Amino acid sequence: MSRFTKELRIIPAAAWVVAWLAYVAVTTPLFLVVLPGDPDMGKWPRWGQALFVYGIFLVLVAFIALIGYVYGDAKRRRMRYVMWTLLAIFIPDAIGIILYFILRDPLPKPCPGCGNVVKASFPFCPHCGTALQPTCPNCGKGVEFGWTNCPHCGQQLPAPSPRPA
Amino acid sequence: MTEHEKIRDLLALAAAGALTGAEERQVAAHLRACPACSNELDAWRSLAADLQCLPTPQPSPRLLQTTLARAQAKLAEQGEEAWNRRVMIFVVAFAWILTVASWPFFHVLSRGFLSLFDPHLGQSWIAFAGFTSLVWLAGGSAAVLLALRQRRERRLA
Repeated sequence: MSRFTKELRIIPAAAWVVAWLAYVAVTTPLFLVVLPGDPDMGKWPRWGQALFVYGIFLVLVAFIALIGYVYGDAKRRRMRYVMWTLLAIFIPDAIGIILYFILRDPLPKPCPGCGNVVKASFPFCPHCGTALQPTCPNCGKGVEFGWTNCPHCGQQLPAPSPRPA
Repeated sequence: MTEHEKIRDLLALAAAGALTGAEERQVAAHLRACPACSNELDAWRSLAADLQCLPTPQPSPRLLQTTLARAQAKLAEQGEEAWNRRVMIFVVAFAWILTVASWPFFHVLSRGFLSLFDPHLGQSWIAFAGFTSLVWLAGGSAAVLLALRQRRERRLA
């Protein structure tokens, strides 16, 4: 299964239902009522009107599917999914969706100690206390392999041991 | 730095066979005229040969496993970053398609039943374009500021 197919499965089925219902609900009255009476587009052939209406509103389906993706993805990343879904819906021109993709948290990972899924940014497992990443011995904040000093308190970090305990 | 000093710096690498073709030729030309460097290279070669006789230290299985896991995590992280870049390009392109596609839709609506409520709505293309630009400007600025802040926070986390 490709990465794209896997990501598509994150979109809830309800979002697809809403997307296609909205598509039909908007395109049908536009095609049957609004376009024939439009001073400019009313002169177009019917197939041209159909192509215009039914083509352009596929963007609406993609938009609702993307909102569904934001909902599902924020939920699995343990973010505030209701807030992000509302932002995706109400900030115009899909800018809420762009903001979501910029600001989303990394995917949670299973703790090697107890197996519970925890946020990737946690230095310790909140369930069993297993160290999930190296920490500063002075302030206890997370540091990275290869750093010589803590960026939070300036403490010199111990050199990595060839045989980690 | 004289030519002699430059060549002396390369002798250890020459003994280890780590020179490029051009450097090898340069060293060989110098050695023909410099017995001191030639003797030093012999000493380096002897040392390199002795080092090769030493047993190669084997990493412990635990260290091997940890290093492998760290390398796999790094690769996964890089793959995720590459995927996120592609997703961002798609989403920004989609946002522009959505914006542009909404213009003719707005036009149709404003000349149709919405004109019952506001007869001047059909002439508001400029206002609509202005609104879109304003939203993109505000949203774009917010996105850039938030992304910079988040990058700083993640670097320090």
